[in-house]
Amino acid sequence: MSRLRTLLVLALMVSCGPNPPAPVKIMALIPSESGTLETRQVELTTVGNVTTLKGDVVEFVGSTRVVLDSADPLQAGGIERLTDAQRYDVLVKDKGGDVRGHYVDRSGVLWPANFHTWNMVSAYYNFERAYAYFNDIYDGVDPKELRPMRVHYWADVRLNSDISLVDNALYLSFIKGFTITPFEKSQLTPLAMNIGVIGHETAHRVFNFKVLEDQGIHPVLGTWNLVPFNLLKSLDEGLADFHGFSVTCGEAAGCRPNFLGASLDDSRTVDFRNVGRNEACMDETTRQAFQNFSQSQWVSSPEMYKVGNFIAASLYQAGNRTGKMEVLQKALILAYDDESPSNPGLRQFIKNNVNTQANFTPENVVNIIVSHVTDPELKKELCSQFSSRMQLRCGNWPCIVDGLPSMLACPSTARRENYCTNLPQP
Amino acid sequence: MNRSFLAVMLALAMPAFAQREDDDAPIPYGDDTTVDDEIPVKKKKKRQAAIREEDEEERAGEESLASLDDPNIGVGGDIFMGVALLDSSKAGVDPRYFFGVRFTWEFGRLIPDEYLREMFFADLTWTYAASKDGTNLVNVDTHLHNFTVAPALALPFGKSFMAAYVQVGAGFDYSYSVTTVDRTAVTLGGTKFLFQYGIGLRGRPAVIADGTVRIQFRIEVTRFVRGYMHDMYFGGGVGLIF
Repeated sequence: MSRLRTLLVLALMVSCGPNPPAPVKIMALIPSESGTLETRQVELTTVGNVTTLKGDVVEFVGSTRVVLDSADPLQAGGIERLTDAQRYDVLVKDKGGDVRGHYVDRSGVLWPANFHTWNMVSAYYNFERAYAYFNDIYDGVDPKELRPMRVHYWADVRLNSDISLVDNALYLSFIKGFTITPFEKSQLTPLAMNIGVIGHETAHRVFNFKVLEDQGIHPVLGTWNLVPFNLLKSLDEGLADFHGFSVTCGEAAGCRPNFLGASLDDSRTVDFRNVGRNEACMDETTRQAFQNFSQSQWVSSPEMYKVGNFIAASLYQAGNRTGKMEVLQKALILAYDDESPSNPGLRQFIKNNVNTQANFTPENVVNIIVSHVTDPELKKELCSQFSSRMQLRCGNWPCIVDGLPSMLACPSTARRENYCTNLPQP
Repeated sequence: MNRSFLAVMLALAMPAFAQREDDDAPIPYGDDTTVDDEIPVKKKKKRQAAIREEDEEERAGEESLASLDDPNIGVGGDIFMGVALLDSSKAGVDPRYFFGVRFTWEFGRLIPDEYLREMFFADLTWTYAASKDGTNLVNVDTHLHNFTVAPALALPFGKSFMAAYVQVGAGFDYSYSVTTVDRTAVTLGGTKFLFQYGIGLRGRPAVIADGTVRIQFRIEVTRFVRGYMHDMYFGGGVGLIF
C-alpha cells in the first residue's frame, strides 16, 4: 500500500509543473537603463499557475490559429452579426493549448530555461504592469474589462490574406484577445518583452471597451470614411502610443517615449512614432492623405500612425511641460466614456453621431479631451499643442468654425505656437 | 464434429505409439535371460526407468549447452539519431535533430532457458538534443542531455534475427541553457527526473559465421517524460553486439 502511495506521489511529481502561490519570484527580461534588456528578479503578483501562465489578469494560450477570411462560408454573413462566443469559435480555427513554462528553481526563484519561457514570463510581467498602470489611472473605477487579458502566444494570424503575420503584436477586438506572432526578420528586443508595446496593445483593449462599446467591430468602422474614419483609427493608435510610453515610466529604467526603437529596426517608422518627437507636425502630404484616403488606404499607410503621433506628441508635450502627466492620463480615461449630457465622452459622441460622421472632426475630438481636464494650465497647453501639431482650424480662442463656436473647452489664453509650420487653412 | 475430434486425437496419439515402437527396437536382449526378465511387467518397468534416466540426462545436457555454447556474451553498443518532437513551451512541439550513444547488456543471457535468454536486455543511454530560439539581441541556446537506464522485453520473430521490444526506464535530464542578451550571457543548468517508455524493432544479424560478433540495429519510438514536459523521439541506431 505504501509502495502504491509512493508511486502515486512520483507520478504526480512527474506530471505537474511548479505551481507556487502568487506572488511568484521569477526572473524576467526587463528594460535596462542602457536601453536594452537585463535579467532581473520580479514578482508575478496575479499568476495562478506559473506553468500555464494563467492568472486573474493574464491568460496565455499557445499556438492558436486565427483566420479572418471573407471567403470562409462561416464568415460570409459578416462577423459583426455574430456574438462574441460565436466569433471566437469561427475565427480561432485552432484553439491551441496551454503553454508550459519550463523553469529551473534556484533558491526559490524560478529561472526560465528556454527562450519561449523567458519571452512569455516577460510578457506576463509587462501585462501585469500595464494593468497596474490602467488600474491607477482609472482612478477608483475597477478595470474589470482587463481581467483576464487573453494572450494568444505564437499565434498563426491571417487577416484576409494567405500569408501569416510575423514580427507583430496585436490586439484583435473581434476575438477580444492579444496575439504575439512568430519572428521572421525581427532581430532586436522581442515585442513581447517590450513593455511599451504591451502597454500600447493594452491601451487598444481599453479604447475598444470604453470608446467603441466593447464591440468586436463597431458599426462606424464599416460606415464612416475619409476624415472621421481616418481620425478614429489614428486616435486609437495615438492614444495607444501615449499610454504605451506612460507604462514604460513605471520601470526602474525610466520613461521611454521612443519605446518602439528597442524592437523595430526600421528607423523611419521608429522616428515618426516617437511620442517625444518635438517635430511632430502635420505637413501637407499627411494632411492630403488624412482628408482623402479611403479606409483601406488609410489602415495600410504610415500616415495613419503619423497622425496618431501628432496626437500622442501633443499629449506628451502638454503633460511634460506642465508636469501634470498623471492628471492628463486620468483625464484621458474620463474623456473615453462620460455619460454626462453636458460633457459627453468620446463613446457618447460617437454613438450620437453614428449617422452624422461629419461631426467627428479633429476640433471636436480635441475639445472632448480638453473638456475632461480640470487643470487650466494643462487645458491651455493641450489646446496649443493640438492646434499647432494637427493644424486645427482653431488657432486662437474664442474660435469660430463655419460660423459656429468651436473648441469651447479651450481657454482664451491658448494659441497656436510656432514650433510647427502653419499650413494654409482650407 | 465428434468425428473430427476423434481424428485429431488419433493424430496426436500416433507419435506416442511411434515413440514406443522406437523405444522397443534398440534395446538388446542377451542370451542369459533370467526368469524374472521374462516376466513382461517387470521388464517393461525397468525399461521405462532406463528411458526416463536417459531423457533426464539428455535434457540436462541440452540446458547446459544453451548457455555454454552461446557464442555471445551479450554486451554491445550503438549510436543512434533521429527527430525529437520536443514538448514546446509555446504549446505543440518543436521538431529537433537528436543523437546519442548507448551501451546494451543482454542480461537475459543469465537465464538458462533457450527462449527466455533472448528476451531481455537493458540500455544505458545518453541522448542529446538542442534548440536555439530568439533574435540576435536576445536568444537562448538550450541543450538537453537525457541519461537513462531502461530494461526491455523483446519478442523474437521465430528463429529470425529480428525482434520487437517494449522498454521502460528512468533517469535524469540535465538541461543547460545559455541566455544571451546583448552579448552578455547567463548560463543555467538544472536536472529533472526522467521517465521513458517506448517500442521498437531490433535486429541482430551475425557478422561472422560463428555469431560471436553481430550487428545490432534498431528503429524505435521513445517517449521521455521530462518533469511535466513530454518529448517524443523517433530514431534509429546501429552498432555491434558481442
